[in-house]
Amino acid sequence: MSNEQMENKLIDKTIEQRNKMLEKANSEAATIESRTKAELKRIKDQTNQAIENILGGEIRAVHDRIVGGAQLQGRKLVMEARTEIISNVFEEAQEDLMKVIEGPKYKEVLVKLASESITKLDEDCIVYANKEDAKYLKSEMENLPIGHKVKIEESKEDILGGVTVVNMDGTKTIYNTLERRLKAARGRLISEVAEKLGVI
Amino acid sequence: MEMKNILGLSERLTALIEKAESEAQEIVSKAQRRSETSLAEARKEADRRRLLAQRRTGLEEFLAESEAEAEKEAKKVTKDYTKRVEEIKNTSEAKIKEAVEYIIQEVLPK
Repeated sequence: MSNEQMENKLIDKTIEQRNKMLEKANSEAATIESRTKAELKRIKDQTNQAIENILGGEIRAVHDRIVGGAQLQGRKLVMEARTEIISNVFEEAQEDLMKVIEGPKYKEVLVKLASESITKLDEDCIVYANKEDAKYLKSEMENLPIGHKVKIEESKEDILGGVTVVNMDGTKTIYNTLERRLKAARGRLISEVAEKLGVI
Repeated sequence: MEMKNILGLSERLTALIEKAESEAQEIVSKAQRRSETSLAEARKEADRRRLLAQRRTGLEEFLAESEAEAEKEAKKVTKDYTKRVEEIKNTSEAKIKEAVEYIIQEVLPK
C-alpha cells in the first residue's frame, strides 16, 4: 500500500467516524425531543384533568351548551331530511296508486277490497264506491262473499278507489279506500320505509 | 519528509475527531437544554393554571379554553351531521323505488 493510499484510507476512516458521531448525536437529540413532546403532552393533559376536576361543573356546562347545541341542531336537520325523503316516498306511492286505479288490474283490486270489508263486517251491508266502481261491483255481485245481503251504492263522498262499507243501521263503517289504506300504512310503515331507504 | 507528512495528517485528523466530538456533544446538550427549558416553562405554566383554578380566579381564561375546545368539537359534530343529511338527501333512486313498491304491496289487498 502506498503512502498516498494509506493517507486516503486514514482520511476516509476519520470522516466515517466523524459522521457516525454526528449521526448518533442527532439521533440522541431527536429522542430527547420526542420524549420532551410526550412529557409536555402529559403535563398538559394532567393539568387539564386537574383543572377539570376543580372546575368540572363550569367546564361541562360550556361543553354541553356548545357541543350539545350542535348535536341538537344536527339531529334536527337529520330528522327533517329523513321526514322529507319519507314524505317524498309516500307521495310517489300515492302517484303509483293512482296509476293502479287507472290500470288494468284495478278491478280485481276493487273486488278484493269490497270482499275483504264485507267479510270483516260480517252482516248485511251497503258498499259505497265511486260511480264507475259501483257500476262494476254491481256487475260482479257473484264474486262477492255470500251469506249476507249486500247493496252497492254510489258514494256521495269523493272516493278515488276502493270502498266504504256500512252496516244497515249505520252503526259500523269500514273504510277500505286506497287513500285510507295508504294513510294507515303511513303511520304503520314509517320505520320499515326508513329502514329500506337506509335513513334510520 | 514522508513521516512528517503522516504525523501532520494524523494531527489534523485527530483535531477533526475532537471537533466532531465537541459538535456532537453540543447537539445533544442543545437538545437537552431546549427540553429542560420547555419542560420547565410547561411545569411553571401548569402550576400557574392549577393555582388559578384552585383559587377560582381567571375563570374566564379556562372557560375561554373550554369554549374553544368545545367549538372545535361542535364543528366536527356539525360536519358529521351535515354529511349524514347529505347522505339522506342523496338516497339512491333504487332504494326509493324499492320503498315505494313495498308501500304499494302493503296498501293493496293481498
